[in-house]
Amino acid sequence: MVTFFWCLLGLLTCGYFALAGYDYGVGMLLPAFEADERRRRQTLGALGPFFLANEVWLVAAVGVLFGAFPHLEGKVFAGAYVLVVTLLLGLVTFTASMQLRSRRPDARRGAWTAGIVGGALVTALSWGLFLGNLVLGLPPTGDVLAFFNPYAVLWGLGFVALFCLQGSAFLAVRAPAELTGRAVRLARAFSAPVVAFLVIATVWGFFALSGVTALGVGVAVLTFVAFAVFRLALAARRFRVALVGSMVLSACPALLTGTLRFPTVLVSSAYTLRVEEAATASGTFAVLAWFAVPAVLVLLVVQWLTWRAHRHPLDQRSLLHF
Amino acid sequence: MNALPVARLQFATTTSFHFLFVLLTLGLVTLVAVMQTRWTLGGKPELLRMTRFWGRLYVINYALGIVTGIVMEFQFGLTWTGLSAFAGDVFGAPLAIETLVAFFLESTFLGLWIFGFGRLPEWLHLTLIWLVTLTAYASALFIMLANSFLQNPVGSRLEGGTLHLDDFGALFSNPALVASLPHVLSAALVTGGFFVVGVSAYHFLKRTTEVEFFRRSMRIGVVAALVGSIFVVNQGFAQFGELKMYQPDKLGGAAVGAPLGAMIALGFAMFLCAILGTLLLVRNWLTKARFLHYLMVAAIPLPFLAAIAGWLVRELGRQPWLVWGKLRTADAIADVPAGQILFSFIAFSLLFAALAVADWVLMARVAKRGPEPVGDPGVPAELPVLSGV
Repeated sequence: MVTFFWCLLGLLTCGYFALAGYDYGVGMLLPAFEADERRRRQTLGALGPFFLANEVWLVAAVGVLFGAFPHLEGKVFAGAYVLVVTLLLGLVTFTASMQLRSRRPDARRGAWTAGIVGGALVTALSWGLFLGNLVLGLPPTGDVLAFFNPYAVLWGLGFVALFCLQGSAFLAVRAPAELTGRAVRLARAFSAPVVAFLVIATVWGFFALSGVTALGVGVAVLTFVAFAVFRLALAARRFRVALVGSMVLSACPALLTGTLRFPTVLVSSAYTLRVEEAATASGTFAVLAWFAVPAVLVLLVVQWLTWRAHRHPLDQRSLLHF
Repeated sequence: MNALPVARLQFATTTSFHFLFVLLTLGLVTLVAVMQTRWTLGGKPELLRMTRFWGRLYVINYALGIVTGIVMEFQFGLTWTGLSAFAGDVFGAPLAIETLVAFFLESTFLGLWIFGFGRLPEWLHLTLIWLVTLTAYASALFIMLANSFLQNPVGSRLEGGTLHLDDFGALFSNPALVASLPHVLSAALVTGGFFVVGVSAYHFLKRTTEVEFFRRSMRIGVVAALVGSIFVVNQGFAQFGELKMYQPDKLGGAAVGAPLGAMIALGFAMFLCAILGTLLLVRNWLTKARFLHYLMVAAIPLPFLAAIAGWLVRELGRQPWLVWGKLRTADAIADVPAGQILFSFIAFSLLFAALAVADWVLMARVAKRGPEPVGDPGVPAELPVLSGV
């Protein structure tokens, strides 16, 4: 049961990064497209039908973290307090700006647009810093500045590039036909920084960490495979395959933090926490399973149907909303 | 510096903002669902335009409900780590179920509803708004269930220094939940009702030409406000009896007196307004009774004020306990430097205040603008693209 819920938590967390990653990517890439309102609406409109459903994967993941692993949640969040707070500030700004930006036809929207771009950037940076620190161990020894150690900063910058890459792959699939060329060029441009991040983070991690599980090594391999699939599919102009490759790629860092030392789930200078110690009681697991399993199944089906219905690029008939 | 008051203030501020938005979300979505149902059953075309107009306001309000909710959820792990360590085995379950069954599904269905306008079969589209409504109510149920557990920790036993779950069913029959859940749900209905009535009254004051549109809206709003305020007052007083069973001294505390008095006064004021509002149902008075229109516009904020007061009564009255009789608030705070908590408190408060003001200004402008003219299915003039709601 413990392992099952650890996998469920992994599914929700990876789902969040695979889906919401391109939301932030598209948000950060807004300045790369012409500033006229029509273009902006089309770029944001590409996200439209998926946006609300993508963001809440995080809410569900944190809910399962709290319900199934109450003894881990506090250590992870309070242990990286400043980073989680900046993450939330970015996330709130991005999500609210996105939803409120286009609600009035005749209104000025500059501030909301800035909120989308800035919020997405802060979110991406904070996620990278947070996960980078989580890989090394939480909380880091030292004061607040210890969160901004070189390895974590590398992850922060790497996440910005990673989400931008994913966002451009998404736009290649969903943006109107006249924007596809621009999206593909952006996807190529972000490949170099992403590959640099992956290689440096892997080699550095190889020397900095000890006791990495075989599963963790497998995830590291998967990361490079996903990147290769992305590049090959992009070259072959199979944009949907490239998008799936970039989504798997974005989910890999989170997958890595969950498998790196499993069944140890958290290390710090003072202690190590194993998954059984982090877990709730077996009776609570049974209650959770009754609700969680059907809910996640319904959700996967409904979101899959949403994807099927909106898999084509935007056209003149598309509802934009955002 | 002591971290405890800052952390408490931070949670109170976040929750207050969250409450202001979800209350209207819950009330308004119910009325939108009723409007859409009546249209689908073969009602006048006005009902479809009403669904779009009130739905648009609902969606604007919904945005801030989500973001404040996310911050609230994270705060359990950020500042109140003692709660999950002590009671996580019990308290975590309803919270996790809320996010999965309710929040997660609600947003997914809402996305489908927004993008399904005019695209999906009418019955399927109607089903979606009802699913959004039901999951929103499920959300309220599980959050109130979790809160009621903090008020009165039933269904659990203390063993080895932590709480363990004995009987999940007992959480549902918790006396702290039984009277308070209908109280909160009817408060939401009142909030939605007063909002619809107030905005409609504003348009009558401005001598709108959309008489039929706002006459129908006002009728639905008045009924919701009246039914809601009867229940909210009734269920409010019903809690006095229940309270004696689990927190007998709660209402005697000094901190609780002022908000309790304010809530009761506001409750009766709203009840009076709702009764006066029913006068608007008399056909010819509707467009003429300007005094009543002014009153109804002024009454829009009352349910929000009452809700904040009610929340203060419930939560301040629980102090100094986080889990009543079992865990003190002071013992649950995380080991985080006070300076960092102060930083996050200031940052969250400023951000929420700015976003809330922007959101309300936006709602006011969209509300003032009124529905799209007939024959124009929501196409903004300057763009050759369609908007969902």
